[in-house]
Amino acid sequence: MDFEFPEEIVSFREKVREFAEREFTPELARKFDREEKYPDELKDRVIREKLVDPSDPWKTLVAIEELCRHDPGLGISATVPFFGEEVLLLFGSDEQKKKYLEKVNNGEAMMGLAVTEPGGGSDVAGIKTNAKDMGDHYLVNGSKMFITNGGIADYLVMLVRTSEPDEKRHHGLSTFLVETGWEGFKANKLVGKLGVRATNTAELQITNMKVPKENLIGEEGKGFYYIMTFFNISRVFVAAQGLGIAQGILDRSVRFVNEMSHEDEGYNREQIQFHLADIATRVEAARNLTYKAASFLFQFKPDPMITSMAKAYASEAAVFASEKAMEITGLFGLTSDLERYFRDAKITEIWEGTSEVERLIISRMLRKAQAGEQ
Amino acid sequence: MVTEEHEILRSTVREYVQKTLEPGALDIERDGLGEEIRKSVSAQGFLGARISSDLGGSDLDEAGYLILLDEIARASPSVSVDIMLLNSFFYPLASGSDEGRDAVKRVLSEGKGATVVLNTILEGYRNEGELMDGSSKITGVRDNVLNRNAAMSILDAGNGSLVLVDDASVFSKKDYSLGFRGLGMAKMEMRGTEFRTVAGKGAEHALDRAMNESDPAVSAIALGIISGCLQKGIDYSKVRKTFGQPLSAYQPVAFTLSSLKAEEELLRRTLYSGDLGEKEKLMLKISSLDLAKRASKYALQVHGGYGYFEDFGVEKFYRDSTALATLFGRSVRDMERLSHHIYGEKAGFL
Ligand SMILES: Cc1cc2nc3c(=O)[nH]c(=O)nc-3n(C[C@H](O)[C@H](O)[C@H](O)COP(=O)(O)OP(=O)(O)OC[C@H]3O[C@@H](n4cnc5c(N)ncnc54)[C@H](O)[C@@H]3O)c2cc1C
Repeated sequence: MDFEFPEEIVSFREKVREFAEREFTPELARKFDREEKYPDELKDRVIREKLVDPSDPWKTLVAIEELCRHDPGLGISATVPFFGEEVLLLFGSDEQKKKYLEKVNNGEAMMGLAVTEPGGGSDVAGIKTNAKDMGDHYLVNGSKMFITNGGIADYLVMLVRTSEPDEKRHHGLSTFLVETGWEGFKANKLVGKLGVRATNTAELQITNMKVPKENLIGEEGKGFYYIMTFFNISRVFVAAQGLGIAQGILDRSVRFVNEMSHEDEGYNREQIQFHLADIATRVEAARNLTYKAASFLFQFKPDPMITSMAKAYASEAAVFASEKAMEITGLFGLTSDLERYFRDAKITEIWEGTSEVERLIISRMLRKAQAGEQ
Repeated sequence: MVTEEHEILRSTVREYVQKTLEPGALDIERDGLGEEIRKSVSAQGFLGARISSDLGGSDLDEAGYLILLDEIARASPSVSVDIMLLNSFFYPLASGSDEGRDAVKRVLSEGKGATVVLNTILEGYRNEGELMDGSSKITGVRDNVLNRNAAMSILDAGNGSLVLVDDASVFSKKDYSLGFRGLGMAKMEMRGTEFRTVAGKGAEHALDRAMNESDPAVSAIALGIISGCLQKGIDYSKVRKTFGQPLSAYQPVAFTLSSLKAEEELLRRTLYSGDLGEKEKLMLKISSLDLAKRASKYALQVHGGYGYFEDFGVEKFYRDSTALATLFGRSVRDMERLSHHIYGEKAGFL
């Protein structure tokens, strides 16, 4: 067992850190947060400088962690243009990959993934958006909710119902590659988020949208399986978001305590030291779980239980850190960058499967494993 | 003790909150607490709830005042804190001098807001220096001051005296803060600003005392926040379905909301039980602030993605409970006070 990254990743992390320190100024982060605006230029620069490289998962993970450490809103915005492309990579046809992925990977186009609907996100099999087979195309109707990049993406992987479920609710679902410029597609930007306000979130209305048959991803009826496979990947990256956010909060809290201890002896007392120790311990535990889940995944032997543990734990570590940091920093924290971290951290417990959904998966896997042993 | 009259007051306030405050609660978060709301709160006699009638207040007793704060915070913690700032901070600090009493009268008759700059006694405050410039004016800065539209402010001048500034223009433009967005936090910049002295010495002690005496008011607001967010969580869990069942059917949802509610009810009973000593008031505040943070976090979580958006009116409780604990509770100081009560001597100082 070796807890060290190879030199290539270590120097890559250094490069990302330097970029974030240079570009993610508090003023910029504050501006995009307040204006609820997507940082287009910054995203272009991240892609141009090859800080996110979808062909190298370890680098992607490290980039997400480091960028979120410096600012969650900007960090997530800059690393999310490829969101959903794994579905195409794993299950799409060569033509689809050629037509869409090239543009996404070189930054010409942006992607997203549309699963959640107004009626539900946790219950993926319960979605209502439906597609009717019209011979040479499908006719899609329905609505999607809370879709990241929904108002700015060029392409979306969309989960729809193509046939009524049989005895299993998750049967009859399929994934389409949808171009957002198509007739019948409408996106309304949602504003007033608690955090990650630099990301774009939209509600989608799909009315009689024609989807060519060649835009079906993989096989009809296998959509649920594709999306669950995707979540097993994306949850590791959300764990990296949580880890980066928690680390960023720890950095700022330690700096604050060291600075304040010159003015006020109270900051040297044990209560504050224990808060720092508790955050740091969770950061380290989150890091180990996240890297373990990533290690399994990137060697093509994903472990959904470890992945769910990493996602739930790292996001809860981020929220824990954000709350403790407000206690440590008091009045200062309330209007400093830390208040933004506080608001941003909470999203990691919600998207890509809530903490409760992760617990359902963990316990299901535990029991399945035990039953299998007998 | 809560009497029949208090119950009548509670239903009057509740009706006002439901009819007037609740529909505009989101606008208060977005645009700040405008004059219209303050005037309407004032017209009900709520703005000067605890202030004596000769200054234009409503002279409510403590239980009535707490009921008011509790009920209003369920819809808008910002409005409740606005009332507390005036009644539990500005009024007691100002009422020792004629000029101070005059200021209270004016604030009430004009339906304006007032603030007390507590920054200098809060944890996480970074020394910004004295304000006295040796003349009859003050010069300097106090950053992150709550209630940026306050017509009048009381602050520690840094030389021991407590001064009154009757000039709303010292506040910078609208700024952004984690909590109480209805009130806003802004920088106060004073450049040769006129002031009147409300206490010539002992400013820090006076602010400290006002802070300690506000324990029940802070608890009432925390309990209002808890009630507001848990009610939303419970209501939502009854109608939102996942996997074909309402959320309330799932044990983690129902059990968590129920145990949070149980904690709330016990704390509320204590708040209104009357005759609490200083120690009990402090214990109640520490527990209420802690519960407000936990309850609002879970209420947001129960709403899933919707909870993350302001439209559902639940995320504000998550922000405001942390702001309340930071601005009106002092995590270390309060625990030192509590430990002193429990041990009967100084404890927890290393
Ligand atoms: C900013 C933002 C961006 C998002 N981006 C995307 C995106 O790009 N694509 C996309 O498809 N979706 C996206 N989502 C949606 C997100 O994935 C969902 O919000 C999330 O999956 C939860 O679904 P829901 O909001 O419908 O909550 P619900 O499923 O209604 O759940 C509500 C609450 O009940 C709990 N709960 C549900 N079932 C159970 C149970 N059996 N036991 C215990 N508790 C339970 C949940 O954990 C949650 O706390 C985004 C959401 C947000 C807020």
